[in-house]
Amino acid sequence: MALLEMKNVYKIYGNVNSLNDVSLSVEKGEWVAVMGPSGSGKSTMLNIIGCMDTPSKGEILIDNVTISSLSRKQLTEIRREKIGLVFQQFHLVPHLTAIENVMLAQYYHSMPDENEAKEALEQVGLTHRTNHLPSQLSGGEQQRVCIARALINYPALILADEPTGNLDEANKEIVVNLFKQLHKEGHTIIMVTHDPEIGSLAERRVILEHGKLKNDCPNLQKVEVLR
Amino acid sequence: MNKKMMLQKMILHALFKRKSRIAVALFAIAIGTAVIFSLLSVYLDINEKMSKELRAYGANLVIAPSDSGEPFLTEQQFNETLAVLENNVVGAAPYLYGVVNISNKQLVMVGTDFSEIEKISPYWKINGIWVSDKNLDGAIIGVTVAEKLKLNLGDQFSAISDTTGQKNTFTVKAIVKTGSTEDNQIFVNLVPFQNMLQLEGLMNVGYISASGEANFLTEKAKEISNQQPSLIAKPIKKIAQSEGIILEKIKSLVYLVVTVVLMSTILCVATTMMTIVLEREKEIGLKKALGAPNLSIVSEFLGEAILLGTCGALIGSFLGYLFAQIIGQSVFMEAISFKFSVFLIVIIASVFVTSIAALWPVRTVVSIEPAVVLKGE
Amino acid sequence: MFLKMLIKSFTRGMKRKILTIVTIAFGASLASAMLNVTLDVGDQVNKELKAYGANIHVLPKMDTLPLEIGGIDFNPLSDQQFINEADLPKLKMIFWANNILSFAPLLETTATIKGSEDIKIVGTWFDKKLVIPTGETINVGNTTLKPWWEIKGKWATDDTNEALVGQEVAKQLGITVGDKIDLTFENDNPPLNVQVTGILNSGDEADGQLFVSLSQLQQVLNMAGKVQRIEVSALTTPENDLSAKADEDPETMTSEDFEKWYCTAYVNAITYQIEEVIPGVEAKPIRQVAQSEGAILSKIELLMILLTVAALTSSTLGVSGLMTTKVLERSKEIGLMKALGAEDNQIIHLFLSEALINSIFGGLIGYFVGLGFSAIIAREVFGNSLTIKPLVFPLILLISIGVVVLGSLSAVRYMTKVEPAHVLHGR
Repeated sequence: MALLEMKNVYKIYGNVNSLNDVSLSVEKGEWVAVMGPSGSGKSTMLNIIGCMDTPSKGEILIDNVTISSLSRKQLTEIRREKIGLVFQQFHLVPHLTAIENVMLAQYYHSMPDENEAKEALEQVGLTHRTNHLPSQLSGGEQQRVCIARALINYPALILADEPTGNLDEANKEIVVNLFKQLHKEGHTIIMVTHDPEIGSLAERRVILEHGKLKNDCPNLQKVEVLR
Repeated sequence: MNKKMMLQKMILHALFKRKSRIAVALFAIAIGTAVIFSLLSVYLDINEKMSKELRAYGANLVIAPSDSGEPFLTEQQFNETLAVLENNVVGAAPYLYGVVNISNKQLVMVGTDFSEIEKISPYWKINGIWVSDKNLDGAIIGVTVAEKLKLNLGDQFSAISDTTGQKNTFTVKAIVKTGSTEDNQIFVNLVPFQNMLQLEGLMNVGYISASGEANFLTEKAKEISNQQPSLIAKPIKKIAQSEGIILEKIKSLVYLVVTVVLMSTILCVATTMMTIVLEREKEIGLKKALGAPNLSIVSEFLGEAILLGTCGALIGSFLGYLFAQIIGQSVFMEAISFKFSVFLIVIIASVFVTSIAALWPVRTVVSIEPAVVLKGE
Repeated sequence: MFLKMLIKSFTRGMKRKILTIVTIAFGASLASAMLNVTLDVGDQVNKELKAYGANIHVLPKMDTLPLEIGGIDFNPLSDQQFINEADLPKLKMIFWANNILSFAPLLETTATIKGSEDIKIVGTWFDKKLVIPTGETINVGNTTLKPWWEIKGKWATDDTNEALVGQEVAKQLGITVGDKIDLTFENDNPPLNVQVTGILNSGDEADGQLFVSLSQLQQVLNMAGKVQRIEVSALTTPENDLSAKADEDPETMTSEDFEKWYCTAYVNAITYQIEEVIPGVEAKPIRQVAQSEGAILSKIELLMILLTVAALTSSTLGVSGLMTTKVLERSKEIGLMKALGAEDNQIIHLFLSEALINSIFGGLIGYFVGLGFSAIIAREVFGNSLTIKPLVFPLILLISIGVVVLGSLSAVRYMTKVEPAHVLHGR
């Protein structure tokens, strides 16, 4: 059974179809890259999968739960339990330290656990920066905190919106390697990206254009190492 | 670390890691509280303080013998009436009148107690020095008397009583100007004058300056008249009633002013709080995206607001107390009393206002989809 | 382009702009209400203090000393000097004529009623319509002069045989409202028949007196146009060093001091002016009223000034705090403008222009709201309308512009010092 199932999903703003009859099914452990020009509906799709927005029409199932008919409160619960989010803008709480930002997700999920949060930061290679404020971290470090935060509650699905969009080459590589590792460990990743290089790392590429699913193909010439 | 500790940490960090904004908010709350604290303190004290000030108008109660019988009352009777008024007495002066002859001119001499006159008639304008109780030949003479008899400070004059014919010599210690009958009279100490008139222990009337409203005085006057049928106690309506009117006006003036200041201060504090919360729209969106239930976001901001409100109110109360003292000292030359109730009200009001002001914008932000908040860069 | 940015920043985020303007308006309304009330409170309270009655006595210059105990003069009437009744309207012609609120002439004698003891009879004005030389008509007399008088029945009318009887006299002689009584005078004066319209409760010596119309008493005593003294109620300025100096002798003052004193409504300036217009009289401040009035008035004025200072401080800090926050909130925008090559001055210019517009709007709204507040205070407390002080309007605009601009300026200057990259990357 697929982890994520989208059936004929529409999102309509006024008379613009941001998503137009999108159907997609993602298996557990898959790495899917969502690509396409800006304005094609990538972020909308991600927001809907992330339970941060609701479709106008159609059905979505995560782990066999139909989320398209849930109340906002229930959506919040699904998001908390099943989904880890990584943003292009990082979105860390500026007045909390790296470890506290990770613990914030634990706090809303269940119980803050300092050791576990430390481990998560260790996993992204930030052992030495646990007690720094976001303003004291570089962009890449901030994104790694963000990833640690996304991972902390063992989500079924990791959603990443242009995770490398705000990073320089060196940091980009670190973050990409992190995703590769996550994939290897069996995490399910859906990633929106502009970058064909990163897109080519995924097992599967989905291309959106004007809200319509244009192409959904397995990545045959999967490159192991960048550049 | 448990959930509660995390919440505490989050609140404390939100306060301490954002120093400049929090300083602004704390400042606004503290000053607002200070103003409210001092105004409330002054308002609650204004009745007592203004009442004291209005005693400047002089005696508001007169004790006289009732129509039947001798036109005198004894000093003992007078003292008993004072006991009825308890500690409301600001001053009480006996008056014994007699007509005397000085250089072939008839005029009115009054035996009294100068230290009491000083208390009940602060409006007396004295040129010279007050006569002490022990000075048996000292006299304060009215300005017209001084003019007509050509008497100056330090001059001696002898007065002969119309009734007893006894002759006494007095020295002018001061000249008084009031613009009323006192200008035409001579004041000496009660005891030598009683001796001169051979009326030991007696007086004609007693003037009392007592704090209290017209109704209170009327009541006490009745009580005195009932207790001692040979006496009549009458509030001096001109003074007692006017005092009531003036006090009422001043109270309502200060009341309205305090209300206006209160409203504006609350609004200023509230808008500052609202701005500070609105600024954190993104943070709220992020927390929602991380799966925070609305309730926990609300409780975080509530905790912050309560902490801010309490700290601000504590600092504000301290400043406000100081400010109330400045008002008290410069206007009434007296301390404004510290009232615990004001302190409580101020703390509660501050916490209430900051909480409402913080939760109002949180409520709107919380109801927006997190995606919308996070998107707008 | 500058204009466009300015307009954009207003139309965008209108909701938050409204919050700012509302706060400024509230601060300004508070300031304007307090200033209005404070500037007016002296006059208003002064009028209220008139409840204490006359503060000036006008007497004829006398050779003899009055022999008065408890309101009863033991000197025979024939020894006394008088003031001409015809001189009374002159009181409304002195420099401070407008400050003379009311006055009443008094002519006193004693009479017996049905063989009683001597009772003091006072001829006076109750509510006299007086035409003054300037052509104005004013109402003066005891009705306005003695607001604490309580009348059972109704006030007597001037120039009729109606009379008010003090409650002690009424009790003693068993007089009730509506009674007709004969007043028998000493010497050969004819008796006066009066009709009692009211019993007076005044709480002072007036309770033992009987009040009749001045003209009636003059007629029977054969003293037409003569009065013994005048009680005057005037609005005055609290005493100070200058008036104290004048108290000694106005003639010894420097001409500059004299002019200043003469043109200020000190009670002794008013008495001086009364003595100038009515020859042969002595006008004396009743210190019990005049002095205390000054004391109370200066207390209240000081109190209001302190309250105003408190109110101004709180709203100033509230508004400037808000402005600082508002600017800090837009740090990203400032960073971006700097990144695009904007000069610090250009940024400051833009923000200050915005602040200026905000403050003018807020100040204008606040002024009128504050006018409303102060009108409410004036009506509720003093029961009359507010005198609008023109000074307040520019003052409020200046204060609100000053506060808002200064509040923004410090924050903008701080922001322009920050490196754009830091702000843009949210550090």
